[in-house]
Amino acid sequence: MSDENSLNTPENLEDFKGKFIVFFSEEDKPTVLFSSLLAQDAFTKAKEIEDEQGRKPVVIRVSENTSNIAQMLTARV
Amino acid sequence: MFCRLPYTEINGKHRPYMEVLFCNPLIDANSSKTFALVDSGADHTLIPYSIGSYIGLPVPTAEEELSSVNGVGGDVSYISRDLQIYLANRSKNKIYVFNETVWWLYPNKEMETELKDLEKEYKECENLQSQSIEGSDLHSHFENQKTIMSNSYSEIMKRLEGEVLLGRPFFNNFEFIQFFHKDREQEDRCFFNYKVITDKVVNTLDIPRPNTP
Repeated sequence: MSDENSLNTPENLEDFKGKFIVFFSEEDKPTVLFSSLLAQDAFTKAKEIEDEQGRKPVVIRVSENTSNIAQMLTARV
Repeated sequence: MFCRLPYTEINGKHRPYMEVLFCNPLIDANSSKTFALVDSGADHTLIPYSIGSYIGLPVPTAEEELSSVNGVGGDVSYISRDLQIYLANRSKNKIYVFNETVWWLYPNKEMETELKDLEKEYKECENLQSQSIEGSDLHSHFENQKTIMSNSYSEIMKRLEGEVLLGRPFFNNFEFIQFFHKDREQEDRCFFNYKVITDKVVNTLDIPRPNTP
């Protein structure tokens, strides 16, 4: 769906399950700029990219399985 | 301050996400942007351990007790913290800043002890490995031990990670939020609308334009 507000994510995240990935969500077809199992590494890299390019990349953790959302939803009182 | 957003595809699933970042106003530290799932069923806004740590949220004091809920792979502990959420509205090229209280996933005492023990054992193993001959069986043994410890460490940390959930308290910042959700075969065509309450915005920023090379 094309929309000026679209938040885009990289395709084929199969290889990044369980990892933190860094990318630019405003690009039409974002590519993974960096990935790591360690959150600290991903955030540090994202800061470096921001300092270099003047725009803030997105950092997300790709869940291992599609039921991750459901698992997190159980974390309620 | 109206915004319309299509569902965002992550891992082949389309869901209502907002692009946000978190700020610890006490030390003026920002996270990178991230996708937060709009969860109308959640009673609280939830952030993973990594984000809270990165922006330097105050760690629990000795007097503070962690709360516990049933979560991923067992009990998950959290601590309540105040911070600011930055919400991007790309159509207006603006970022709206809100004061919020969130649940920050945080390791409980048992997890902390396990993590510290693993860190200590890993360093000891690394030290012993450095004294062994590269390519020898002993060297490989220590390498295997390190891998096992790394995996155990990751398994514990995994319980403290997950999606950022924007729960209903965050909706108090909106005049309304509407979900236009079709059947599951058409989730790529779903979208949602929201309108920000001006009085709830503590600051408005421009989305920085990228540097031109």
